[in-house]
Amino acid sequence: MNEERIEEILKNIGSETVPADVHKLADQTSKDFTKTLMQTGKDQHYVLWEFIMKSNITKLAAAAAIIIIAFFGFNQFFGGTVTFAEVIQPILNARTVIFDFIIGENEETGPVMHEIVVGQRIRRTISNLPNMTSIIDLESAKILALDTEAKTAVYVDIKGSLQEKTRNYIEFVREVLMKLKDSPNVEKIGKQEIDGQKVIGFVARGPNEEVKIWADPHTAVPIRVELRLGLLFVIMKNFKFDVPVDDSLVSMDVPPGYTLEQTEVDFTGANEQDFIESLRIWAEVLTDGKFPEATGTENIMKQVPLLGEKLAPLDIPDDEKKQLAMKFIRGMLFLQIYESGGNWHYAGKGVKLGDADTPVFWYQPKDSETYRVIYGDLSVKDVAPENLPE
Amino acid sequence: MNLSRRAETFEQIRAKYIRFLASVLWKLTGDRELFTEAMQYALLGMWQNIEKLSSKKAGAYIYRIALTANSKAWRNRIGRDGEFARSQIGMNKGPDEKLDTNELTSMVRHEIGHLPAKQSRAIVMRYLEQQDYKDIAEKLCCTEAGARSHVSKAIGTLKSKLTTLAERGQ
Repeated sequence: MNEERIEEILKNIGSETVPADVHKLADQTSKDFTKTLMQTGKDQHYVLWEFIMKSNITKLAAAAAIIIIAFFGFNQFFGGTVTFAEVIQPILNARTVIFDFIIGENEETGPVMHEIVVGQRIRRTISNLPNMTSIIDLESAKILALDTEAKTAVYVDIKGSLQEKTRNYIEFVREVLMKLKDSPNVEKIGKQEIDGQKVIGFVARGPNEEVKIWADPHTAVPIRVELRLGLLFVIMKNFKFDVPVDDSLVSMDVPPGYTLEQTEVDFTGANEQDFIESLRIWAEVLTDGKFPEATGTENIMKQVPLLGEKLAPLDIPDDEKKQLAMKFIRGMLFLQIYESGGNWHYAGKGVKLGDADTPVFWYQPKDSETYRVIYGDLSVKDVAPENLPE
Repeated sequence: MNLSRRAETFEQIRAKYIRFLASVLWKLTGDRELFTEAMQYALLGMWQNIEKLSSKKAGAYIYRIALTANSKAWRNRIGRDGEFARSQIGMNKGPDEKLDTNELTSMVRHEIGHLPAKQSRAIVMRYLEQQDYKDIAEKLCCTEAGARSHVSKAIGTLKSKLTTLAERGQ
């Protein structure tokens, strides 16, 4: 390597003309920036904006969390519809399934996940995280999370309790469905119109779940599935069955042009302490010192993309911000495990962080006779069921 | 400066420098995604430093903003430690394979962002903007000899860094 070679390279760079589309790109970026400037009206939001744009780890963490949320939902989807044999045939037997997935009852504003399912692989995109694509391998309990903007990839491990819970849950759902199959708990709920299409509906109910399936009355092809599991509500719609899907779309290999990030993203083993940290972060960072109005998957889905914005202006190192984001996600995963079937209750609306007298959350750990009650100061006590807050 | 006044000033500065930024950042990145990211950082830098960009030293300060934006964009691309991913520069190739021009160009672009401030500005002005030493000296507030020295040192630093990188890749 000599200096002449470097000079030659520098001269070549200097002589490059800027392509017309790059000038357009500059103009567009500039307009977008100005537009955001006018909308927010506070310069600190630009620090937030910067953080949102640049913090790949936060985005990946957010995506991973939502992936896992939907991971539960999807498994339930397969089991939960085996209540009307004719209608569920395409779902059970299709080699590929494509559909949209909404957590929560608000279809208009809730984030929409678009799913492409091929066997044990799922390709997922999420409407409020437009740069994130995730490939989930249910078999190995691994996620390949892709940032399509930064062209980075990271593998996320969901083995351990999350995987175990998920698998157990599938078995549980299948058991329930087998029982429901010929039971009187499956009923026809008549015809109606959905998006201008006449559909026929069926509902299957178990002790903690309810599945409604709306299908084409002539072809029996499912149009819409509504699933309620405990407090979790999920809508699935826009189904396509057995459409050709390129294998590369669900490949767990890092796509050409992407850089594999070596960051370890481990969401396994989320525990109570993680959840407490999440509550602390939620109250301190997201809701100005008070606990949120509600928690649960639907709310988490809405909060996660905002987390980066809220963390950005904090006068702490970027690495610390990323750690906070990861802690928030881990804790919320703990909640999701209970949300799909455990005994828990949230009562933190309006409670100030630090209020040692007011319970904000309680849950019953598996195989425990007592409940764990978390108070506003984030202390925890074991409480017998008869002594739970009203 | 209140917000509306600040926004107005920002618009004027943005209009004045957008073509310059597009040119410099494109040459420093050579990649549309990296360019967009660097441009975002540059706009943010302009917004945060409106006062400086409204002063007489604006012509020199905009280089600092562009170079900082470039460094940040590259850092996000290749990691905070400032090291190239081996696969990005062909370092997983066999020892007999030499780095090609594209890889070297990419490395030069990246390493410009890691040069000492005056060296990086000098090299951008001299080679990317093709300015004469008189103008460079004026913007860097030094003599022409000083400007030549910054450019020379920059090339020496680039040579040293690239040689090290190439050796590590073999």
